[in-house]
Amino acid sequence: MAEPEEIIIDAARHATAFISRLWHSGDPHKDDNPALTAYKNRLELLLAAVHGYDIPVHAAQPPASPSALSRLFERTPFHLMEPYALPANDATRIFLPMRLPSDGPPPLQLFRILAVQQAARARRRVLHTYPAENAFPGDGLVQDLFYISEAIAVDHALALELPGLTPDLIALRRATLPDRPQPRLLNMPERAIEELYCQVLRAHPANIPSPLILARIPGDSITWAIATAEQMLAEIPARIARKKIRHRGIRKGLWLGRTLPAVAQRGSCSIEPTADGPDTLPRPQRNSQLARSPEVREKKMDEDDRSQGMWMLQMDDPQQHVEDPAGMQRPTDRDDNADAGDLADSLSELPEASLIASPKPAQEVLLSENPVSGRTLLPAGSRRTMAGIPYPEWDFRISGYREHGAVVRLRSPLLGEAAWAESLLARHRALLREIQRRFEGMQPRRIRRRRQPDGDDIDISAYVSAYAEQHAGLPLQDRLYQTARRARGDIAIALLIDISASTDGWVSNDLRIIDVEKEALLLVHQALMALGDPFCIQAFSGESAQNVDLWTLKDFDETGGSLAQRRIAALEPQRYTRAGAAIRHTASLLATCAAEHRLLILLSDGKPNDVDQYEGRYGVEDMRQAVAEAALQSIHPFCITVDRHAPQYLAGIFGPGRYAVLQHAQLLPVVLVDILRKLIRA
Amino acid sequence: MEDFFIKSGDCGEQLEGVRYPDSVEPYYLSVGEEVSVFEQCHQRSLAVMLKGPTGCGKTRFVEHMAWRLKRPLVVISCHDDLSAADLVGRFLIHHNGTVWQDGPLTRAVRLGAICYLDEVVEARADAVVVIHPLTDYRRVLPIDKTGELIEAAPGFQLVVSYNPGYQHVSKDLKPSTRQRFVALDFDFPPPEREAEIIIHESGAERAVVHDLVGLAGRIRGLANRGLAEVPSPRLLVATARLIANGITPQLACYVGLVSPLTDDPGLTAAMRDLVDAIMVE
Ligand SMILES: Nc1ncnc2c1ncn2[C@@H]1O[C@H](COP(=O)(O)OP(=O)(O)OP(=O)(O)O)[C@@H](O)[C@H]1O
Ligand SMILES: [Mg+2]
Repeated sequence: MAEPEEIIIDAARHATAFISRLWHSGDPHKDDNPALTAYKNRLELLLAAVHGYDIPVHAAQPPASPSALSRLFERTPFHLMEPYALPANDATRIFLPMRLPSDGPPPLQLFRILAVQQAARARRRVLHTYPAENAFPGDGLVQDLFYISEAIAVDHALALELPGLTPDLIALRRATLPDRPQPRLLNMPERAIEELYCQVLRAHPANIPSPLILARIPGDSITWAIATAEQMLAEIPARIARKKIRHRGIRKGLWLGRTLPAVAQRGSCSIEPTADGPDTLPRPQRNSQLARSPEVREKKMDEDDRSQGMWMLQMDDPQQHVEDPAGMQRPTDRDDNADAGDLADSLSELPEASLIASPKPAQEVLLSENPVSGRTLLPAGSRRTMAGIPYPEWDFRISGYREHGAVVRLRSPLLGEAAWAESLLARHRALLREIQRRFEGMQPRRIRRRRQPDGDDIDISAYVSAYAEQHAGLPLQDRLYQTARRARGDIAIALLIDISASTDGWVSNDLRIIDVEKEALLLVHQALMALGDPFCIQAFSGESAQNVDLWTLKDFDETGGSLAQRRIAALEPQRYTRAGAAIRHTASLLATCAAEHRLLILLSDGKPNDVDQYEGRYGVEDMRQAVAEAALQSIHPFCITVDRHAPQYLAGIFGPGRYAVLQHAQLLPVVLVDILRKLIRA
Repeated sequence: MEDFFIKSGDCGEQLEGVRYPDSVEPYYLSVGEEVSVFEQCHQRSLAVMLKGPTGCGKTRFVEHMAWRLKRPLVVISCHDDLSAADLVGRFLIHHNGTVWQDGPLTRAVRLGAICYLDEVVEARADAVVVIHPLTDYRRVLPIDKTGELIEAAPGFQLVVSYNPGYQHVSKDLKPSTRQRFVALDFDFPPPEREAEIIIHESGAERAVVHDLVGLAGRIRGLANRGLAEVPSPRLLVATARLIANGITPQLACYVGLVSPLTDDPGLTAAMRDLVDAIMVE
C-alpha cells in the first residue's frame, strides 16, 4: 500500500517550490532508510524525461501474509518465497518496494536503477505485446526463462542508452547474488535455471552470457525459452525424470522482479445486472482502510461472471469492486450488516482478485491508496470522478504536517438565473455607480514626477527657475526633467468564500447569510471589473479531508462578467468548512500571478470545521498555518467574517488588523467593497 | 561574441548604438526558408516579426541578415518601462539651452538601418504605437516634440521579436500591431543542426555534443511536467563551452544546464539523475 507521503509529493507540483519545501522540511517522522515516497516524484520525472511519456511509480505490494499464501500456494517451498515486496510493472505503471534492504547499494541508486529498469521493461511491453500468462506451456519453466531473457535484453539496451547507469546496474546485480537460494534445496530444472540466473547476475550488462541470447523482440525470447526449457528437461537423467519433477518457480528477487498482467489485457471487467435498478436509495457506506489491495487476477474462462462478490471502492476512481479470488463466498460478503473492518482485513490477505464493476452503489468502501486502474463502466456524473489536488495539513499536536492532508476537488460551478443579478444590480444602481466610480479612480494611473535628474521630458518650471538661478550666479541645478511612472503596481486579488451549511442561517426575516454573501460578491465583482486588475472568486465547502470542494466562480483571466454573475447566483449552502486546504489552493494560484501585490480575502461565517478531527483547535491551527504559508509567499491574507465570536480566534489566525468582524451581516456588501478599497489603496 | 560590430561614437549615452556590418560573417545556421523570406521582406520594406522561444537564434539571425544585406543594425531591448521617448528621442539640457537628441528608432529611420526591437511585448503600449506609421505605406516617423515628420531612408526595416507564451496573458501584442508584420516562426533546431551549431559555437567535441543534445531533448520533454523553462540552444552552447574548457561533462551540465533552469528541488534532482545516466566521461 502506498504510504500517505505519496500524496504530498504530488501536491508539491501545484504549489510554489518555496512552500513545498516548507511542507517537507522538519518532518518529524524522517528516518535513516528513506522510503520510496522520498523519491517518487523525482523518479517519475526521470522516467518521463527518459521515455517522453508518463510512467507512474507506485508502491509495490508487500508479499501476501503466509496464512493466505499457504492457502493458495501451498506448494511453494519456503526457499522460493519472496520475503519482500518486489519491483514490478504492468506495462503502463511500475511498482517499487516501499523500502529497500539497507545492506545493499545506497537507496537512491537502487531506487533509480530499479525504476529505470522496470520502466524500460514496461516500455518494451508497450512496443511489443507479451503473451498472456496462461499462454505459456508447461509448469512455468518457459515463462521464467522468457522473463530472464527479456530482462537481459532490456539491461543490454540500458547499458547502451544510459551508459551512466551501468555501474548501478552492475551493483544491483551483485547485490542480488547473496540472496539466491542454495542449489541443494532445488530440483533439477530449478537448479539449471538458477545457475543461469546467477550467471546473469555476475555478468556485465553489456555482455550476454551464453547460452542466453540477445533477444531483439520478445518473440526471440520465446523461441529461445522454449528450446532451452526442452534442453533443460532433456538433461535430467531418465530415472529422475520418471518421478515427474515439477518446476516450482524461481525466486525472482529485486533484479528480475515481477511482470504483472498488462492493464489493457485485463478482460475481466463486466457489468453486473442489478435487480433493483440504479435509483435505489443509497445506503450509508462503511469505511475501512486496506493494508494492501489485492491484485487483479486475470479471469479464467470457466469462472462465473455473475457470482456475487464484495466490492471495493477507490477513493478517486469510479466504482469498481473486487471479487473474492477462488470463488470463496464467505457469509460476510453478502451481509449488509457486515463489519467493514473485518472485510478489509480478509480482503487484504488475498493476493489477487478479479475486478468487476457494478452500477449499484458500493456497500463497503474499502479505502486503499493504490489507485485501481481500468476504465469506468459507470454512468457519467458519479460524484467521485473528479481528480483531486492533495494538500498537506498542519497538526498542532505533532507540530508538523500531516501526511494525509486534504484533497481539494475542483468542481464545475452551476449557472443560475441571469435575472437574479440583473434585478439586484438594478436595485443597487446608485450604490453601484458610486462604487464603480471609486474603483475606476484607483486604476493604475501614471503620475508625473517633477524635478528628476533625468526623464522623458524637460520640467519646464524647474528649468526656468534653474535658468534664472544660474544667471544670478548660482550653480546649475541638475534636477530638470520630469518622468511619468505608474502610481502603483498591479494587484492580484483572490476572493475565497465559505459556503458551508451554516451560511443557511438567517440574518433577517428574508435574508440568509449566503444571500448576503452573494449580494456582496456581485457588488465586489462589479467593483473589481472596474478596477481592471486581475482577480478571481472561489467558493469552497465540502465534507471530509477527501472532498474539499472548490468552485471557481471567476477565473483570473476571465474577462466577460455575465457568466461569473450567473455562477454567483447559483450558490447555495453546502457542507463543512475545511478552510486550510482551500486557502492553500487559492494561495498557490495567487502565488503564480505576475503581480506586484497579492491579496487573498476570505469571507467566512464561522470557525473552520469538518466531519473528522478538523474542528476546535485542530482546525484553527491548520488555518493559521495555511494563512502563515500564504504570507510567506508574499500574499496578504485578510478575513471578513460575520461570526461575532470571531475575535477570539481570528486574531490568532490572521494577526491584528488583518480581519474584520461584521456586527450586522446585512452590511457585508458595503463593508466588503469599502475594505477592498482600503486594502488596494494601502 | 557580439564585438564584430563597431559601435557608433554617440554622445556617451547608454542606449543601444548603431552597428555597422563587419567583414566577419555572423555565424547563423539556417533551419528553413527564413533567410530567403527575410530577404524578400527587406526588398519590399515589409516589417518582420520573429516568434520563438528564448535562445533559439533570433538575435543571431537578425545580425546575420544585417550583415548579409549590408545594412547597419540598431538593436533595442524592450522592457516595461520603455517609453515612446526612449525610442524616438528627447530634449536634453546643455549649458545654454536645450538640444534634441534622437532616440535609437529615429536614428535607424534616418540611417536606413535595420531596427530590431527585442521582446517587443514587454514595451508599454504607448511606446509600441509609435512604430505603427513606420509599418504603413507611409513609412514615416512623426516626432511630436519637434514637429518633425521623418521619412524612412531606403533600407530601413523594422524587425521585432517575441516569445509566445512566455509573458503573462495580459501582455500580448494588440491585433493592430500584430497585423503589420510578416511573422517568421523560430524553434529549437532539429538535433543534428543543433549539434552542429553547438560544435561551431563552443568548440566542444562531437561525441559529447551529441550526448548533450540528446540530454536536452529529454529535458525538453519535462516541459509539461512542471519545468517552466526548457534548455535553449544558448544554454547548450554555454554548457558545451564549459566542457570544451575542461570541466567534466557531468559538472558542466549541473551548473550550465540544470541549475539555470529551475529552483524546484524535485526537478533538479530528476534532471541530475538524467545527467548521470547519459553523460559519461
Ligand atoms: N540557427 C543558429 N545559428 C547559429 N547560432 C545559433 C542558432 N541558434 C542558436 N544559436 C546560438 O544560440 C545563441 C542564442 O541565440 P540568440 O541570442 O540569437 O537567441 P534569441 O532567439 O535572440 O533569444 P532571446 O529571445 O532570448 O533574445 C547564439 O548566441 C548562438 O550561439
Ligand atoms: Mg535575442
